[in-house]
Amino acid sequence: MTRRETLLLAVALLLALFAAGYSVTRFENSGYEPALLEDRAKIFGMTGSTDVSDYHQALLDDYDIDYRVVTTNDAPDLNLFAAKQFEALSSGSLSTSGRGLLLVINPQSNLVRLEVGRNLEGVYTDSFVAYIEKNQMVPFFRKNRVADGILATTELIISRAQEANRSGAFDVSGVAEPSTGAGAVTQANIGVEKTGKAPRMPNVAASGSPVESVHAYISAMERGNARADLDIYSEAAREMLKKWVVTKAQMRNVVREHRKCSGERFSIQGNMAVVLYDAEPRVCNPYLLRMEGGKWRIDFAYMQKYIRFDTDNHWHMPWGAKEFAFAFPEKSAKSSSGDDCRWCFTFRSEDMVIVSVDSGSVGEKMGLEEGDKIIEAGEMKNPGMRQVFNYLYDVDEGEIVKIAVLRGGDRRIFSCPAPPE
Amino acid sequence: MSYEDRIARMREQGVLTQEQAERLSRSLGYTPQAKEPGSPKQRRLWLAVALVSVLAALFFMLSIIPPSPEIAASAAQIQDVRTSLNQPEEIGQMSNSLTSGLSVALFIIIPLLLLLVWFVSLHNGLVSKEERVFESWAQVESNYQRRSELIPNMIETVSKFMRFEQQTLTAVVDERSEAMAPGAFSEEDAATFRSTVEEISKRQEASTEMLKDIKGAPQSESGLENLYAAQQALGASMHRILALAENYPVLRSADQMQTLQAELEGSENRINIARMRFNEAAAAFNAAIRRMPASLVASMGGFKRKAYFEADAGADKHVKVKFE
Repeated sequence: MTRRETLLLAVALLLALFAAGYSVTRFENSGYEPALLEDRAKIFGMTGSTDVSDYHQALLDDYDIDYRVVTTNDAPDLNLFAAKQFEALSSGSLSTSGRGLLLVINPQSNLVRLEVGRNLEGVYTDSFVAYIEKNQMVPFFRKNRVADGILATTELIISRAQEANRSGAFDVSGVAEPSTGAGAVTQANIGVEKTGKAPRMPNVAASGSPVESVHAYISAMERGNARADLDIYSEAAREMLKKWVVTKAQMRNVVREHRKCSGERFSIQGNMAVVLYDAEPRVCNPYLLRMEGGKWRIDFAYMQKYIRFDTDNHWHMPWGAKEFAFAFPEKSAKSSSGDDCRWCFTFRSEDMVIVSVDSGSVGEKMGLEEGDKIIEAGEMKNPGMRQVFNYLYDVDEGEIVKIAVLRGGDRRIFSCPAPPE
Repeated sequence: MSYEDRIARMREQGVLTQEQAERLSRSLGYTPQAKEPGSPKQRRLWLAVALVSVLAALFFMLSIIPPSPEIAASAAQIQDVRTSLNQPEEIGQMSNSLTSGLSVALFIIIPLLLLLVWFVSLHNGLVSKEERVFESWAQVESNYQRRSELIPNMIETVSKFMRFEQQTLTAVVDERSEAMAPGAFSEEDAATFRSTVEEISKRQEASTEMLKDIKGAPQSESGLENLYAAQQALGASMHRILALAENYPVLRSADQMQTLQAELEGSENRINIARMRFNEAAAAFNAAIRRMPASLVASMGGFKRKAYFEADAGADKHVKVKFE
């Protein structure tokens, strides 16, 4: 063996060693794009799963929280499963500050667990998580509304995140790490109606003053009075609330947010009244009331149609509340100039049924009517609320928009060029 | 509020006896020790590596430096450059010493160095595995401690309800309670409360003593078993205190009780997860020190097997209390 060969051999050996070391480190870095929802137990409907994914994408975009949902039927110990999945899916890795949440649901063992990542432990304490699971999520689960239960809980997660942002409770420089077992587990009770009688709550009387009726409502919420037939509700509201899930957590949230509101005032026109608050904070939505039987009663049915909440729980009235426009002079001026309304029809997110179409609007010209159920938007079949919104609001002016609806059992297709943005 | 203030206040109010208060504050004051930095094992090893490298370099230098001037001169007289450089077949005399140096390097020093590198990496692998065992044990300890820190708050919250008369009780909880039937603790429950507090203070002290005895990570299976049993017993007593609330709808639905319940369950889940991770780390370490050739390194480096929790340790059986 010559000298040169010896040297070459030695160099080759060294290179091989380095290469081996390098390939090992490279292997660990290879990643994949994770899904926010993995429905392994198949308990979500089509629209439900897109709504949850969309909402959690918004949570990631706006609050940098990577919130995954996994359902499973084979995890005998859900607590251990949650910790292991949290690590395996590297929950929190989508967030730039490593904020991770993981919801695991096992319908078989009837359990749900929200696992909290290490650097969210200070914001979402075990007792907070237990509270929102029991008092917000499960009441929806009991009515078989899994996606709605998760969405409603995410709302509370967001309002907690807003508080944490204000008070600086978030750790902004974290990295994704395995969880320490923080969070809480509770019985999922999907489709299991509550047995045993809840204590009968007293009725709450409406008042001759709109402000007092609103106060009566707030104090009813404070006492956890979820009755749908309270005297303070308008007839339409009672009808709507019958089918509504009102959770303890929601009621407490109403009270908590109302405490932040200032500048309470009201305006009356005929048998309609509006109780409203200062523009900031924007969680203080107005209350719309009607005079029925000589008393002022809150019309939640109408409020539900016209007052919308965005992902920050901030209210807005995208189409102006026609009948109550007298109380919002700046709003009605805006909507007549077409600023806030591009299509001018409203639909319910839970079943995609159109509830109102403004007269003279593009929606009306297109041929849409109240009661139509949206079944296709563009190329999408059975779209969710967000998909329809994105479709209608991202489209460029003049592009042909196609919407298929179910009207009286028939499928009808409407199309028209998109109006200006 | 610190647990010390709480304990002092409960001592004043007669919820705790002097002895119980002392036991609690002593055992809660224990903070799991941080591990000593930079383990001496590692330093010793690096010393050995440096020594061997220096020796190897010396050996290499000696082998390429021509013996000594006199010996060289007597052996080869004056070197003739023409003959020593221009021999067609053989390697020149002049490079003889270098060639022998290179062959020494190739056949002795490089393998020796590679062996050394390999040895070091094996050793370091074991060190980091052991490090993981220590870290995960520290997690187990701090989670046990975390649960213990709930004790003062728990006793105080329940004792408040115990001592309050009916009208005070309704004022504490929300107005809804008027619809339900509130009541102060019965004689029997008060007695259970007192005996459970005594039990908790003793068990807390006993399990803290056991934790103190474990340095770094547990080495003996029986010691770990005893600790586990003691902690289980402590957990059971804590659940018993909460279970007292079961008979009192007002107390059961109070926010404070719900929070305590969630915190206790949360702590217990953290303990379970920390235990699982500790078991995994200990198992990985134990497997590594048994396997050849790391076992040679392990015996030389003085690595000892680590104890771990029994497989069924996850199946806790304590009083389950359900709050609605």
